[in-house]
Amino acid sequence: MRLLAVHHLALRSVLGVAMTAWLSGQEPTTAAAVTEPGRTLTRPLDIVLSGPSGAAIERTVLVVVDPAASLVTGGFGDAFASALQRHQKTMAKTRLGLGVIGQKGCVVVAPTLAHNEVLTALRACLGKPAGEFQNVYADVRAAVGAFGPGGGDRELLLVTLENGDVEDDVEQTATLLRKNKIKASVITSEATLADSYWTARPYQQKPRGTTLTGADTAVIDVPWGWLFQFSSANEMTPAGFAMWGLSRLAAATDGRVYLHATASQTTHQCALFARCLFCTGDHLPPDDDWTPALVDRLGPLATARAETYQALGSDPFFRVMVETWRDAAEAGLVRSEPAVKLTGTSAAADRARDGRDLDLTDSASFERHAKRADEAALKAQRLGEHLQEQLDRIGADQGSPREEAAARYTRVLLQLTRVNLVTFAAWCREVAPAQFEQNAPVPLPPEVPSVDREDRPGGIGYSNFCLCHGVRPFFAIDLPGGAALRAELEGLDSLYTAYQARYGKSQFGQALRRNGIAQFWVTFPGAVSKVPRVRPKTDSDPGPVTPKRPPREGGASTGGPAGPTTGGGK
Amino acid sequence: MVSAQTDLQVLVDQLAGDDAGLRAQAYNELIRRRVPELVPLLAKKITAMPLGGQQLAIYLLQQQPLEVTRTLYEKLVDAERPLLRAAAAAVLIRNGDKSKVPLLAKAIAAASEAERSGVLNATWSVDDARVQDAIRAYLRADANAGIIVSALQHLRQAEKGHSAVTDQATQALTAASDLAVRAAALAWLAGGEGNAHATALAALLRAEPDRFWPIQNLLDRDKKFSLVLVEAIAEAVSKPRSKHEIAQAAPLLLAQSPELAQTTLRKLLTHQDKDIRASALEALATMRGGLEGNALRQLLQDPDPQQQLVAAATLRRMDDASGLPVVLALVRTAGPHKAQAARVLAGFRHRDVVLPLLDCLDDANVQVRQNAWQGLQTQLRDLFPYRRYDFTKSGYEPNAASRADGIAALRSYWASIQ
Repeated sequence: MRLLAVHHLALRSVLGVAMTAWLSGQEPTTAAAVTEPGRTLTRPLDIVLSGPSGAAIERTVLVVVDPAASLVTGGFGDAFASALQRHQKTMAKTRLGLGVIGQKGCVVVAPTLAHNEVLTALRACLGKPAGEFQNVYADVRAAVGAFGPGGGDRELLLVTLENGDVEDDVEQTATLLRKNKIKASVITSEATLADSYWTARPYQQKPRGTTLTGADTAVIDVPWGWLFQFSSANEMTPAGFAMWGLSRLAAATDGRVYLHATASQTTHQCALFARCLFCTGDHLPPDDDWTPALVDRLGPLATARAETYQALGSDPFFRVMVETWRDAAEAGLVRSEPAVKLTGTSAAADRARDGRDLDLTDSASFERHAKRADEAALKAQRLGEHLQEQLDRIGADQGSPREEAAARYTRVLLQLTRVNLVTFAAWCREVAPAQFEQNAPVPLPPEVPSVDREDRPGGIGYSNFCLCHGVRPFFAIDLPGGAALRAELEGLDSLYTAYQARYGKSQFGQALRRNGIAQFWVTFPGAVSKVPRVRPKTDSDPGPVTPKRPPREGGASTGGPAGPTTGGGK
Repeated sequence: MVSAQTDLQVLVDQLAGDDAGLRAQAYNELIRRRVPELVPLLAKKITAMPLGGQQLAIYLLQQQPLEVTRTLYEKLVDAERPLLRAAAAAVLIRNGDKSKVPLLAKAIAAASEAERSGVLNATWSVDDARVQDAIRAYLRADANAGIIVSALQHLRQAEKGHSAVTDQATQALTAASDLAVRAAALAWLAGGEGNAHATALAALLRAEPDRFWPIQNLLDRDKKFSLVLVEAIAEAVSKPRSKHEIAQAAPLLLAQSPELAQTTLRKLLTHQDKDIRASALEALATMRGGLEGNALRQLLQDPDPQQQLVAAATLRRMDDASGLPVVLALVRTAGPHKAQAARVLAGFRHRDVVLPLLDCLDDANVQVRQNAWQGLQTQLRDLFPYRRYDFTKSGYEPNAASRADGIAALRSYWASIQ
């Protein structure tokens, strides 16, 4: 294990840097500084179309629309038409243009005073919603030329609910906009917290020359892929902010980011890919209303990626979190190492290497699995204790609040993983073998045998019981592990409660609740049928190869007057 | 078998009779039986039935599979009464026979004032401009307000919102002498451009708050109304006539103004009608921040068991189990609250809950038994997630006359896993 002499580092508060930059008139450095409250379409359209002064002055506004189906169902066409009508007078001297993402050259209607032409073209493009990955940054660069010389204030409104994660060169785009004195504002959907979805799926096809990202931050700064978590919590936790690339465009050009979500996306759900043992969907979590000030404090940087690495590299919380993450991956507790390399006082991008595979589920060798789980549980304990010692040494205000939240989250997840390993080992020793014992006692009705087949099991499956109601209610649940597990659960409860007291009403508290205690069962080899070989042929014109965007679960927060609220996806 | 058939014939005769009470009883029994043998009996009588009987017969036929009723519907599209023609044509259209659309449109247009409500009830999910035109013709200033409301609801669904032509037809109703018609028209138009209709509706509702209840579903749920209208709605909601009205109106008010919704509902917590008090409490409990923990904990001491139970259930939903002892006490006390107490108790995941639920399995009230049985199943599955259950093997059935063996088996099982 690497030891860090954290207190010897030249510590610099990222927030302090951000505030200094802000006060000195430089571009804002945090996403919070560029993100507007609310989740409607009306407000951003009112603000952008009516202009900063609300007077009929000469302006050029180019609306660049990414016509995804969600934008159509969100009623963008009607909202745009209403806004044009409302601001008819103030837009009397505004040249309005339309760009459509995915169209050659992007611009469909060059800026004009005939606003109805734009509306007609917009409705036509929304009539053909697209589901492909689209490189919005390239199209924004292509659209810059449409502004031409003069034309007063220039604003580009990028409306993209889906494709902010298809990055080619964000900085080049920001530079081009800035050079042409174009303010870029964005209407988009909320990112998920330090989203690792595409990092975990590197095989996904994407447009040539692009990388799939999607996190609210330039650098994934929350460990993901924890052992025995069916899905990564950060991939299902609304971030409260847009995807980094879009926040970056706004931050670099004095623009604003407006988030959009529908009511159905913001309804509370205890669990997405997990089961809730403690309610039937009627939960009213006390932490459901986020505290906007806290969410903002925990917001990501909106600086260039290189600057973000530099800032994070000198953040003591980030450094101890990354080191622990790497150690946890080497111990098999996390699926992947961080894609970050720490240097003296900075950090740089690195390849995200796979973590160690403990091979706990691919066979029914229960005793062997139990031994490995014991070892891994011990490792989780040591890593957790070591991380705690390091966190205790870092003084208040020595790092950014976000990275502190991420580091403390890592601490809780190490204990949660220990809990899951302890219950897994107990299940391997006590529960699983008993299911296959000959002459096993028949349970009294209404209980029936857990396994009612005689063939040998082929492996182990697992799912999660969500932590949305906290850890304490699990004290009443009959889980494998007995007194040893109870002690670990009490330890987890203590860490969980302390974490939620501090971060409960924020994206990080929500992320913790999206994790779960694992349940295990035996699996059997399925029937195998021969899959016919497919020999695809190419046409003379293979056509566009832009891949379709696969559906994924997510979540959104309301951003209402009471602040963003935990979402839940579908 | 013969007796059952005779019995069925008697019920159909009652459905065709003039006594509305007997008709309703026969309908309830027939809907419960849901047997295909009913169809030929209805076929013989339906055209000669009084209007009330025909409406009920249409509902009964809609319960049956199309392969049993298709022949009858094919005949009814030529029936004398427009209601029967419309109902038959609508079913056939919904099942793909678009050739019946002109017949349906004609039947809608020909329906008498008395038939129109039934016609509208029978013509759901028919998406055709000719049908919408025919329904739109019902929007007349001298029409019955109930028909206007029903027609507008139809049109909203068919047109997926507002169409200019419907808005125009509705505009003509805003000067109707019947205030109920006027209120319906204003409610429809209140979500549109400008505040004139909202302001007029607000003035009407302030003068006659009861006008709100029939027209509340015409107010666009996804539009923000002017404050003056929202305040008028709140005033109407503060004078409910039954507990059901609160449950219906609370979501609308909440969407418009959470603060006003909570203020209005809190005032109803001291209403003289205990059902209204409980309904207000339940509505508040669904709202984020609607009820604070301290207020709920105080309600646990309320003399009214219903209030105590709503408070305990709401606290439980907020991860606060402080109401559990109160519910445990209430579920052991006889009274009209016991079924609700069993339901609320089952919401807690705690081993202390299991024995009281087992005790409720032999309660004299079937609702108590059913709630306890449902709750017990959820409880055991959640408390013991590594055990697998087949509750049909317990031998217990809440509606069975003899339940003792099943209860004994369940008690033995519970004792064995302690």
